[in-house]
Amino acid sequence: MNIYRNVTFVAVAGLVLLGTVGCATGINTRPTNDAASGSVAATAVDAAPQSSIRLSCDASALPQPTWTPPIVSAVAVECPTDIVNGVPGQEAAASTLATSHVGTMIAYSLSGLANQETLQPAEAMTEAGILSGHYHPATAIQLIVYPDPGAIDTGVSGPGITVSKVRLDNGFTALVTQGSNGYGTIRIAWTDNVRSYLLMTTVMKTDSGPSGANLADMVRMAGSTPAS
Amino acid sequence: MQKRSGHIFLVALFTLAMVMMTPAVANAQQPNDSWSTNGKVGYCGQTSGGYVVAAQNYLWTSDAYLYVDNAWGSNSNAKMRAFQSRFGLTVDGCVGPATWNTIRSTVYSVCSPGYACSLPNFRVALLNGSGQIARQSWYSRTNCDWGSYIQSGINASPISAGSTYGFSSSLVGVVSCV
Repeated sequence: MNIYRNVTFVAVAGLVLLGTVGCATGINTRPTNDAASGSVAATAVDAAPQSSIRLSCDASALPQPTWTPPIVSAVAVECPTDIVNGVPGQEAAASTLATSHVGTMIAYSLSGLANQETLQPAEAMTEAGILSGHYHPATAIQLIVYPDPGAIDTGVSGPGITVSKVRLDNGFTALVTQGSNGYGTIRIAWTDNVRSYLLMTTVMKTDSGPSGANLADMVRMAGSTPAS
Repeated sequence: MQKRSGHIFLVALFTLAMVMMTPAVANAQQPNDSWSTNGKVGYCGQTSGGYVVAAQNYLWTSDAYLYVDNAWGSNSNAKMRAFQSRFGLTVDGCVGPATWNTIRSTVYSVCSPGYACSLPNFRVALLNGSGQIARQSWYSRTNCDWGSYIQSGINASPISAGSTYGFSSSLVGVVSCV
């Protein structure tokens, strides 16, 4: 009789401990999202012509934004296998690298001088050019569509970063991070409980004006992405 | 008999407690995702070591910096100042918390967040006008450390291509998780 009582006590104690440890370590539950307020027709976005590259994935089957900012000039897709195979120096091991959880990247090129590359070798840069923001890389909008639901990258926070939550037009709640001074990378992350998404662009202060897309356009673009 | 059952009970309770605590210990080793606690890099701080490698690895993509060589000098300083200027940061060439966070915000996981993938698993990529990758840098995030994966073609001695250097004040590999 005493053994049964002790076992019962251990079981109850174990459940209490599990709950306590779970809270302490922040074991996440999958976030729930409201259902989309209405259906949005998912239209395939044609990849930019890449005659030497054959797509190894069916990007047209992925949910993609139905609206993009007017400055978008071209679209290209990078499949999971391409991403994994594109790790320089890892080509020999590429076949052993798992792709089952690797996302698909959809890249939206942007028009305008502020979004083109103007970098120079360090020795060729002038102080005036540095201070005016003349030297900058190209800027694009990148959408990473992850094949798994639930988790959102929460790794961007701290000094100089503003974190907020925004309800998108597609009904889902997104985590938005951006530079507190209005510059930096805008990141909009959400999940539709089938896949996860990360939409990014970088706003830089250049001598041709700000690069990238503004926050309102990025939120609208994210919200135009239909659920899986 | 009663004494023996009491001993069994205590052993079982102790074992169960250890099993339950293991996840807490493992999770406590997770690296700081914000990078703001990285050591300062530049003339204000470190001019060699893992943090310098991390910054140079990033500058290769963001600013076409040549080459990742574990030596912070005038070229590294100039490139970092150009980076800081266009992001509205203090233009002093010093990679401190705000600059590290600005850098970190451009780095993304190629793998679904919360899932394990082969390393390296984080990337920053710059695209050309056709939306194709012009340059990219890779980082590895394990359960307990960050590291810079140095791809071939961007390194100079003593940095080795194909190696991963941990986020550290010294030049070490990625810390192995316990």
